[in-house]
Amino acid sequence: MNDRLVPLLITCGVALLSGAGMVMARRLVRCACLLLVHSLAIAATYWCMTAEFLAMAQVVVYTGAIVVLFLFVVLLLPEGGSEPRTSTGRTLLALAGTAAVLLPLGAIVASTSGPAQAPATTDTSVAAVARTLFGPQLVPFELTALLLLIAIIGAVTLWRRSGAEVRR
Amino acid sequence: MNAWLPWAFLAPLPGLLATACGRGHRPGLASLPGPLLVFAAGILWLCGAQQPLTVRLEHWLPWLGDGAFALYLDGLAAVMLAVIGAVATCVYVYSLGYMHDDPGRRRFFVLLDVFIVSMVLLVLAGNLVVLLVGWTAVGISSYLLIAFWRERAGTIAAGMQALAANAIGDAALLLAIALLPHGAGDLATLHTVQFGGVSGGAATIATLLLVAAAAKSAQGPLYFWLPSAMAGPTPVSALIHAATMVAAGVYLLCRTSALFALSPAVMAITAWLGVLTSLAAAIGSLQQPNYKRGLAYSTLSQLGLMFAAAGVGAPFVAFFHLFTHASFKALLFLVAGIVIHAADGEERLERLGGLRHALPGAAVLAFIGSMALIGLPVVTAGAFSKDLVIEAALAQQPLVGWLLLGGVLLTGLYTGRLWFAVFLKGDAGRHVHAPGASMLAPVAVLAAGAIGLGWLGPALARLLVGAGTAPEFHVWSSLGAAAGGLGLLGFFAAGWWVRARGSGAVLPPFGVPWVAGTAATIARSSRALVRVQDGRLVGYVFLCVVGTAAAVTASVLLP
Amino acid sequence: MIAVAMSPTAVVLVTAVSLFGLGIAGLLSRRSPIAMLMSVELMLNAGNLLFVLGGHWHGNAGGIAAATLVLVLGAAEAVVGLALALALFRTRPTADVDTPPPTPAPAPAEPTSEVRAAVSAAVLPDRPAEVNA
Repeated sequence: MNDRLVPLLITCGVALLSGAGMVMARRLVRCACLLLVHSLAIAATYWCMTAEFLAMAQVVVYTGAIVVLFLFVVLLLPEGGSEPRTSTGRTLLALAGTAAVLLPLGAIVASTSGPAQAPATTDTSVAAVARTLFGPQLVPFELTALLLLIAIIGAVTLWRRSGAEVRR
Repeated sequence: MNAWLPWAFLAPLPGLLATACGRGHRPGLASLPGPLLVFAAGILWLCGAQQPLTVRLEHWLPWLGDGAFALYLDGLAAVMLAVIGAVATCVYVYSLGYMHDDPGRRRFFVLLDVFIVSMVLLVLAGNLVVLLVGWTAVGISSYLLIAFWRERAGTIAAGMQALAANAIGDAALLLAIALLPHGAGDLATLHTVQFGGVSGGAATIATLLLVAAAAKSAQGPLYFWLPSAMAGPTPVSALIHAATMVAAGVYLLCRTSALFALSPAVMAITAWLGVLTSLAAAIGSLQQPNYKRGLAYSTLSQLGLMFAAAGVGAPFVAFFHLFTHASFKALLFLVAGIVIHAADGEERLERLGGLRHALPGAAVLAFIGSMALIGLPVVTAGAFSKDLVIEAALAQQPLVGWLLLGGVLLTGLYTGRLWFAVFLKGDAGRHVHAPGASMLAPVAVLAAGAIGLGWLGPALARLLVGAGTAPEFHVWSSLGAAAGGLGLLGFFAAGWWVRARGSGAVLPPFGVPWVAGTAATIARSSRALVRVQDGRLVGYVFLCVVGTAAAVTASVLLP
Repeated sequence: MIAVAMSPTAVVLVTAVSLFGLGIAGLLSRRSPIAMLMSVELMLNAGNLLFVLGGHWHGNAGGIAAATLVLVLGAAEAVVGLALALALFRTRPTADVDTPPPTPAPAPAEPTSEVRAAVSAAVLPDRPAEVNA
């Protein structure tokens, strides 16, 4: 991972900047587009960390499906996606909550030193990921299939019920 | 043969299946062998093996260090089996007559079977985890039986009260199991565990077990569910809420008495909890206009006596009182059931009166039960156990002993009020129909027990605690005479009171403004607390974030 | 010039923690449900970065496998969350989490007087309130 330090810095920087912009943007369409940039930057970060399979999964699944879904929904919103201003008190509340979580988390991270003996190279090929997913992680893997099924049924049920109310 | 005895809790299952799937007109008959087999198992052990029998199925709970399914049958458990089996058999026979024309009687007997299975499992448990299974199952079957007549107003709410108190007890027991340094809490060796790692040591575990026992036996602030539980059918009140389930708390205290002995503070709390509940419930019984609720408060009072005995360091005496109390309290409840059944469901004392001519057998049996409750020396079993309790208390904590002695007078008062109001005073012209033999016979059996069981005391003591530490049994002592005299004084004073005021004589309530004020304060604070759940998403999300922050901070600060 | 002493581990850790903080800030301060969901996605990405880093520390592909499963989780959550948000806010004038729904709630009565009355009725024996309970 060490030979890709500079690309790593660039991609992490883009991810942070787009994430910050996404949190502060007022119009939802801009939020969604910044989320798109952010997820592509994260995919690039995965590539820098030699997790190429995950990078491609991030591009195809996350950027290509989830963020696109967000974009569609934003375009379907009634007033076109502009949000009322957040009150100052609410912003202070958000900052307080963030600080409350970040400070101890930062303390933990700062005292982390990683493993004493890190392995030289990690096998992150698709074959290795497949061996893990279909080996020790088989049960969670199958459960995610169930989870997706439940999500689909739930989304369809929610949409149909609201559609029926509107028609009445 | 002996190896099968610890599995006695499975004995009612065939009867349960037969009753549940049967189609006949007398549903309860198939369930009758169940409690008889339980009784037989207890007697077989007592007459035969006399060695503790254990069953261990290892790795039943693989994530615990010692998660075995353990059953333990020793003297204490065998006597409990005999008590449960005998009282349950009487109640089953009685229910055949009592629930004769109730449309739900098949469900009733199935639920009674479920209760017996759970209660016997609780008694036979070898470690705390199996005890918890039986404990929770007993609570659920108690709810189902209290709320048996679902269509009547208030029964489900009464059942919910029982569930609420049981939830507190179950949580305390679960917490005690979780706090154990390792394993599932083997009951025979609980007091030898090294509690160094537990903050507070053995006292914490003992306190949690005390909370669980107090919830099950309705002591202290957790008393509220027992009077409401009288909404269920009277056989249920007799079996569950007088003789067996509420005794499970006392059984737990006796089982873990060695652990309690390690922390004198918790024992003092137990003793005072018992004596204060005993006195307060006795006064409460005087204020009840309902026959069964008056008896329910009497049960609370006697359970307080048992807790006090356990708290002063005399667990055998507490158990002996449990033993005799089961017989005469079940007797009193079943007679109450006869009276209510005869009067077509009338439970208010002011409407029941002068029934000694219409129900002479019931009057005599109730008199025997009342004398046992008061503790008439020599003739009744209650005297033996109650005198031992007061003796033990006077020896260890004299103030508790004197208060208990004063409680005997109150016991006489409320017992006398109940007997005189129902059987002596009032108009005899009430239309009643006499009970059948199936209802009177089991009550007569229980009456024989109420008279004679006290003589088994020395044998029980030899069995359970050995000859060395057994208390002295006096057939006639000055303390016994004093207690008996006080009780009789209260009994006849109540008779004079009922004669003067009529069957509806109740002690007027005191402290109403205080009670109303407390209730209003609690209501106001609950309305303020409800505003936390205002339906706004931001509030909930913020609480989630605060919780996360607290968890992360805790993982940083605590090693 | 970027200090070469900065190791990749430190960069990833700082990025992950910062993204997580940004996600929480967005979750608490935004008023549109869609924006709140997008902030949650930020937090999921941060977690994934940590998973991959941990996989490197252990020397196997377990971190990547876990991150893949988290990706699936994020997809499912986004689908249901968006459907819920759309269904809830379709019939409202604005998609705003802070605006309460347009149904009036009944005002609760003053607790003290009604509780006093109820307690007195239940306790005093001359009123036949305590029947076959």
